[in-house]
Amino acid sequence: MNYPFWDVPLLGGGLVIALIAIPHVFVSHFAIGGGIFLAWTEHVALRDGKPYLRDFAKRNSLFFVLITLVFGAVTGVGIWFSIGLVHPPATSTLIHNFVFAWAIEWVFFLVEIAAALLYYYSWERVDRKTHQIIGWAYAGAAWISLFVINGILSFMLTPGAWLETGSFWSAFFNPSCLPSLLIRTCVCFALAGLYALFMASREAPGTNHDALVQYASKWLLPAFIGLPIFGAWFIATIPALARDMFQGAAAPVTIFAVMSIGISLVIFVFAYLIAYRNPQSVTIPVALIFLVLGLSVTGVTEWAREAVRKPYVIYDYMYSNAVLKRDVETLRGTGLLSVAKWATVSEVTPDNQVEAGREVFTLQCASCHTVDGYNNIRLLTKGWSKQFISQQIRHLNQLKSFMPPFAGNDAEREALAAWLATLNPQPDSTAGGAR
Amino acid sequence: MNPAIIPSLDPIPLPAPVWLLQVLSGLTFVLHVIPMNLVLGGGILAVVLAWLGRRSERAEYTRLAGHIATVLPVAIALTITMGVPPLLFLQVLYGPLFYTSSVLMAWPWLSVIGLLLVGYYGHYYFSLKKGNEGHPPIWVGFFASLAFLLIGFIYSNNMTLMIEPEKFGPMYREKMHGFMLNLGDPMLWPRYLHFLVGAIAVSALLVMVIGLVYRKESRYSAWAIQFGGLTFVVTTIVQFAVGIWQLLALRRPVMLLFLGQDMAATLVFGAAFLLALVAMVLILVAALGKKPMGMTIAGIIAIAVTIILMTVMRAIIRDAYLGRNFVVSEQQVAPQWLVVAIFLVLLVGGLVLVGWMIHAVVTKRGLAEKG
Repeated sequence: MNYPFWDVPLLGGGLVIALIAIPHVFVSHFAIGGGIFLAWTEHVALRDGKPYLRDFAKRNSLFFVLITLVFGAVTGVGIWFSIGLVHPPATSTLIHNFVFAWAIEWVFFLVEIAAALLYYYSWERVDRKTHQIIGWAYAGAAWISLFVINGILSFMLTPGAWLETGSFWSAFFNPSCLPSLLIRTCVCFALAGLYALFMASREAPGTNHDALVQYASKWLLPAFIGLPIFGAWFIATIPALARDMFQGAAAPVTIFAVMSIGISLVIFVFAYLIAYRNPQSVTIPVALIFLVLGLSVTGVTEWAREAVRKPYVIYDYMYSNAVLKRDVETLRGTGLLSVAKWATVSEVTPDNQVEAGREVFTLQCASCHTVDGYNNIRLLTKGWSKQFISQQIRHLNQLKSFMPPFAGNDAEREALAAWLATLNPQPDSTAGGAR
Repeated sequence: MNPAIIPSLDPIPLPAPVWLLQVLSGLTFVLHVIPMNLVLGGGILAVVLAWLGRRSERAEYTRLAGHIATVLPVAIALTITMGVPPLLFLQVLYGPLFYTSSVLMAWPWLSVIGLLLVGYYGHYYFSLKKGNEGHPPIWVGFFASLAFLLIGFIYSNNMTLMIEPEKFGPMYREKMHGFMLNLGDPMLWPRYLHFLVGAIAVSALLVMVIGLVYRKESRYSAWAIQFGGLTFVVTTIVQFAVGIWQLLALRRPVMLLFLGQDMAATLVFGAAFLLALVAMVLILVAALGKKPMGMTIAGIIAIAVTIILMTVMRAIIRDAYLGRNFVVSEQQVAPQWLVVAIFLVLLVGGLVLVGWMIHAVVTKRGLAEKG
C-alpha cells in the first residue's frame, strides 16, 4: 500500500527472488565450506606430508575464486536488488533493524574477498605458514558472514522477543538463530564435499584420484550426523503453524520437506556406497549428478523454508502482502483504498466496483498470486460465484491458515469478489455468459 | 508541479543519527567510486589500446592494455564490495524514494545483476586469456565494457529519478510495467557523461602509475606516463565542459546554490573546480617533465580530494532537489550504539588484517623466513 507494486507477469515477484536466491544459497554455502575445505586440506597436506593434496587445493583455487567471488558476490547483491523491488516494506523493516549487522557482515565480506584473492595469488609468493593464515582468514571471515546473515534470515521466521522489545539483540539472537546456523554450517561442509568430489573426479584415474574422492566424501559426514539433530531442534523452535505446514497442513510444503530429506538421504547413501566404498567409479558425470542433487536439495529446502513463513513475511509482524498485523482491524474499518498511496481509486463506488476490485487485488493478493501464472488466481477461483468468493475472502485466514486475513472494508471485499468473478465468466451469472 | 507521492517512513526508527549514516554513506561512496572509475574507464582504455595495438602492431599498446586489464578483476571485486555499504545506507536514509524509483525501473534495475555477471566474467577472461601473438580477446573486453557502461547508465537513471518524487505518481499511473527510465530528465545525460569522462580521467592516472611501476624499463615507462598524463589532461578539459553542462542542467534554484546563494555549497564547488585545475597542471608537468613521481602523486591526491568534494556536492544537490518533500534529517532515531561500536571496531580490525595480508603478499614477507 505504501509502495508502488512491481507486477511481474506469470512468474510473480516471489519466483524472481527464488530464481536468484537459490543459486546464491547453493554457491554461497559452498563458498563458506570451500574456504574451510581449502584451508584444512592445505593444513593436512603439510601436516601429513601429502603434496598431492596441496596441489589439488592449489589447482582448484582459481575456479573456486571465479565461482564464489564472482557468482556468489553478484547474486548476493542480486537478492538484495530483487527483495527491494518485490517487497520494499519488508526490506525496509530488515534494513532499519539490521543495517549495522549488514555493515558488520560487509566487513567480513571485505576480509573474505581480499583473503580469497590473496590466497589464490600467493600460493608460491609467501611462506606456507602465512599462506595458511590467509586461508584461515578467508574461511573464518566467510563463516562469520554466514553467522551474521543467518541472524537476519532466521529473524524473519522467528522474531521472538523483538515483537515486544524492538531490541536489536533480541531480533538477532532469535529462537531459531542457533539451530539454523548449525544446519547451514553442516550444509556448507556437505556442499564443499560435493564440489570437491567433482574436482576429484577430474583427476586422472589412479591412486590420487581415489584418495581424493574418498577424502572429499568424508566432508559429507558432519551433515549426515548434524542435519537430523539440528533439523529437529529447528522444527521445535519455529511457530506451531509453520510446523503444521511441514507436517501436512500445506501439501506442497510437506512434499518439498519430504523431498529435502529424501534427496539428502540419497546423496549420503550414494556418497558412502559410490564415493567412499568405490572411489574409482566416480567419474565426471557421476560427480555432476551429485552436484545436481545438491542444487536440488538446496532449492526444495529453501523453498520450503520460505513457504512455512506464510502468511507472514516477518512472523507475527508483517503479512506477505505487506499489511502489518496490528493494522488489520483499522483497515477493516477505514478501508484500504483510502490509505493506499498508489491506487487509482480511493473508494469503491457502484461505477468503479470492478476497477476497484482490481486495485484491491494488487494491494492484497498480488504479492503471492499472479492472474495467469504462478499461484494462478484465475484457476484457483474457477467455478466460484461472486457470492462464494466474497464468503471465502471473509474467512480467508480460517479457510487457509497460510493466507493472511483480508484487510479491507466490506465494500472492498465485494469489489474484489466482483473483479475475481469476471476472470471466469459463468454462463448463468452474467448476461454475456460466453465461455 | 504535481504533488509528490512518497511512501511513508518506516515505523521503525533509524538505528543511528542521520549525520553518522550520511558520513558513512559518503565515505564508502568515495571508496566505491574510485575503483568503479577504474573498472569503467580502465575497461574502455584497455579495449581501445588493445585495438590500437593490433592495428598498428605497436607492442607497447598491447602491453599497456594487458597491464590495465590485469587490474580490472580486482577493481571489480573492490567496486562491488565497496558498493554494498553506500547502497545500504542509502536504503536506510532514503528508502521511500529509492525503493519507489527502483520499482518504476524494476526490469532495467534488476538487469544490473545480469550485466554485472557478463562484465565481471568478461573482464576476467579479457585479462587472463592471451590469443595469438599475445593479443587479448578484444571483443570480450568490448562487451564487458559495454555491460559496465550500461550499468552506469541505469544507475544514473535511478539516482536522478529518486530525487524527483514529483515524477513518481504520473509515471506509475501511466504504466506500471517496471520498464520506466528517467530518459527525459535534463540532468541525466550530463550526469552520466560526468561520471564516464571522470572514469577515463581517473583510469589515465592508473596508466601513469603503471608507468611508474615499470620505471626500470625507461622507454615503456616514459611512454606510459606521457600517454596517461595527456589522456588525463584532455579528458579533464572535456570534463570542465561537461561539468558546466551539468551545472546548467540543474533546476535554477539548485544551480544558484553553487553560484553564491549558499556559502558552503559555493565554497565546495569552487574548491572542487580549483583542485581539478591544479590536478591538471600537476599531471601536465608530470607527463612532460623529467621527474614524474612526485607530481603524479600530488595530482592523484588532488583528484581524490576533488572526488570527495564532488560527493559532498552530490549530497547537496540531492537534498536541495528533495526540498520539503523529504527532509532526511526529520526522521526518528533510536541509536543502536553498541552495534555501531562493534561495527567500527571490527572495521578497523578487518582493515588491519587485510592490510597485513596485502603487505605479506606484496613484499613476499610473511611470518616465517621464506620457506
